[in-house]
Amino acid sequence: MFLHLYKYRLKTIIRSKVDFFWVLLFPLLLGTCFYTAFHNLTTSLEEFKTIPVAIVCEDNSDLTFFKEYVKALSSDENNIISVTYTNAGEAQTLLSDKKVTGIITLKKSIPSLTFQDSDSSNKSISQSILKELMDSYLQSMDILSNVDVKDTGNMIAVINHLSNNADYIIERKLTNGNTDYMLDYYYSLIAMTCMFGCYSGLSCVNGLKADLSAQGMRKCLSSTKRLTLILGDFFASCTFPILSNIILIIYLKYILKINLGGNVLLIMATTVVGSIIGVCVGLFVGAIPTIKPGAKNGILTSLSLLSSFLSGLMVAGIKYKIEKVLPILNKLNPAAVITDALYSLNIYDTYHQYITCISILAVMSVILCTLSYLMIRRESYASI
Amino acid sequence: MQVFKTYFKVSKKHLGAFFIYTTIFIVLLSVFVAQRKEESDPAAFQSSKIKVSIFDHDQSDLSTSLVSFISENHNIVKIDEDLKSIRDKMYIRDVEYVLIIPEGFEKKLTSTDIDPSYGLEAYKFPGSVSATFIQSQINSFLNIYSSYTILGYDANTANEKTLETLSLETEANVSAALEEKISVPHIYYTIICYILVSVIVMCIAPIIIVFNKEELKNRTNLSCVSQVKRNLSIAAASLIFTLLIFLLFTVISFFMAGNEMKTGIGALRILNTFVNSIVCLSFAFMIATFVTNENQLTFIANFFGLASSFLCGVFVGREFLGKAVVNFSKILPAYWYMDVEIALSKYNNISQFTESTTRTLTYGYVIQILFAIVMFSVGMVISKSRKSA
Repeated sequence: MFLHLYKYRLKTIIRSKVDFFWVLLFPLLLGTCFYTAFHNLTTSLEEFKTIPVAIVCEDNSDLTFFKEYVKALSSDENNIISVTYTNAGEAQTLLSDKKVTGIITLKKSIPSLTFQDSDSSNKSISQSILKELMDSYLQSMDILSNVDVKDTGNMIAVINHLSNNADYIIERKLTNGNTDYMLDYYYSLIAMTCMFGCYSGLSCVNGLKADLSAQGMRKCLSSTKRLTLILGDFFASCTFPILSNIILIIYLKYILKINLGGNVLLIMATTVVGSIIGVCVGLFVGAIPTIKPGAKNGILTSLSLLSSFLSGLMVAGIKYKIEKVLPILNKLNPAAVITDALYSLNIYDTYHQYITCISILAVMSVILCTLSYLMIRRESYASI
Repeated sequence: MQVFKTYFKVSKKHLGAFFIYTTIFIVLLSVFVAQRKEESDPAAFQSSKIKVSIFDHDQSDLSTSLVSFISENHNIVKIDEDLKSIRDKMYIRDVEYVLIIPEGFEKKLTSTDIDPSYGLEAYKFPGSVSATFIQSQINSFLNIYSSYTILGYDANTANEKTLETLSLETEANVSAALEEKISVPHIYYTIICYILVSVIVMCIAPIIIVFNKEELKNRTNLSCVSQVKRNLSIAAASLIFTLLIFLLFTVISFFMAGNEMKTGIGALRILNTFVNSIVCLSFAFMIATFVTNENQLTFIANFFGLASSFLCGVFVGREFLGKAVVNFSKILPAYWYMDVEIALSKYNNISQFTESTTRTLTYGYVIQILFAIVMFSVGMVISKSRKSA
């Protein structure tokens, strides 16, 4: 009987156009939008790119040292700047057309810089790097001016030292995961899909209660045990959001090629628990007898969207602001816990945090399930 | 008149969408305005500052001097020195660079040849521009310091001379550019592109769907009201409803941006929004002819609104979108709306317009009007073919 109930409930859900659109199609479309808007964003904002620069020599002073310095910076090994030697007018045109980040003008071997006002932070850091490089040139010249010209030994040692460009910093590995913070949008999208499982939960209760649907009346008349009825419907209700999430993850990871970080099987396992909590929320709200059926839909829409919003679906980083002000909210918000679990799979080497998140979700599900069961079981209707 | 009056009676039931989207609009507006950067003085160059955390285990004169040099040039963020905390803070960009100065660093640097294994350690994002910037400054500091030690200066004097040398800076000038200026009217008239399509479609299409229902349509056809009169009444009522929505958002913009709206640029922005409202109305009319229930409508309106906003540069600047995406988005009316808005945002006065700006504006307005005509015609064709079927 369990399998029979499971099969027919699943068929009903899959044939429901509303569920199909919101739980399966909408996340896929939103994921595509995120991809088109964000997949290039972190790279454009944060990644270092060779800085194009125009150099203008205003007089015929000796530029051997400067040219050597610039050559080292633009060599294939360093590749910090790419240089165009030109005249003042041409350089200004290149700057206006955004073909170069800045103009270096040399007057009596002293460089000065011209930039164009910029709103982009990446561009303004590139300008700062260019200025730092020119400062460094001026400062090297200053050091050499401190050396006695006759003291050739020291002069050679300092020139060698300065031209070595020693790197004093060793990089420590931050994580094996993906540090692109735009991933939060995808994590919230997965959490939203889990939370949309609440609609399946609601229709599951509606199909079980005689005062809410004809199907419920029929089921109340059947001789099948109430627990079997509930379990059959419950597992079928969980199956659809789980399948939708698995399709979403496959789409994001293998078709859009987004590095979600962490083991893909564990990510899918997280969505299984996440979908169960979504369905449980729907079951719980659906089972409350005092709320009108129309209002239940509204409550669930608000709950699922609000929890996704607070986990960072619309504004990235909102979860971390809440963590500073009201950390308990992040622990009670299922969507935030789901995104936390996915984040910990991505960033940390251990599973401690991940297990904590999954445990929180499991405990929430058990509590909501028990409360819903207590409200639904042994329900009897007055004779009218 | 009967149909016209009924239209507004039905419209009262669909005002919920209007309030929801107005609230979303105000929330989005506040978020975008709050993130707006203060415009800096274009004549002065200001070096960028990044968020750095430093753990100094050496506590020597050199390390203290290095820490104070970094503090003067960047923003120092205090965090706990454990990997979890560092990872968490760096992931959310509260910190962009973490520098660890190991014990005995000064001794190693001043004694023998520089051995990288005794060097500083850092957590950074691989290939990041901010890490390249700060590392170049740190290396520069240490290079100067070690040059002075090579020249035989003692640690104290080398330190003093290093700071003296570091105070030498290149002269840098900044010329003002013709860039998109992030002003309040610009933010307002950018986000309104997303809001208008959602509000107009969600308010108007459901009403037209009601009139298109089989029973109601048959009942109207039986009455003495002709088909043409019925259609004209619906079109006139929809137009008035759209104008009301447009006027309301225009009035709000005057409250929010004040004097900046009372200029020629402001008038062109209002004209752009007006044209866009007509496009949205045509879109609502078109989809109302083939959508049969509100669930489908909510889905199409939400998806079309979000997708065209993401693709046309409403939420994310066009410079961050791929070339293919930008080219593709030209088939959407929001692209041409944004083209006009971006062009207008660069100016304070109409008299500064160049020939290419005038061309951009004309193209923007005309193409939007063409979109409206095409969508309206498609709607008419579908509606007629259904009637004849």
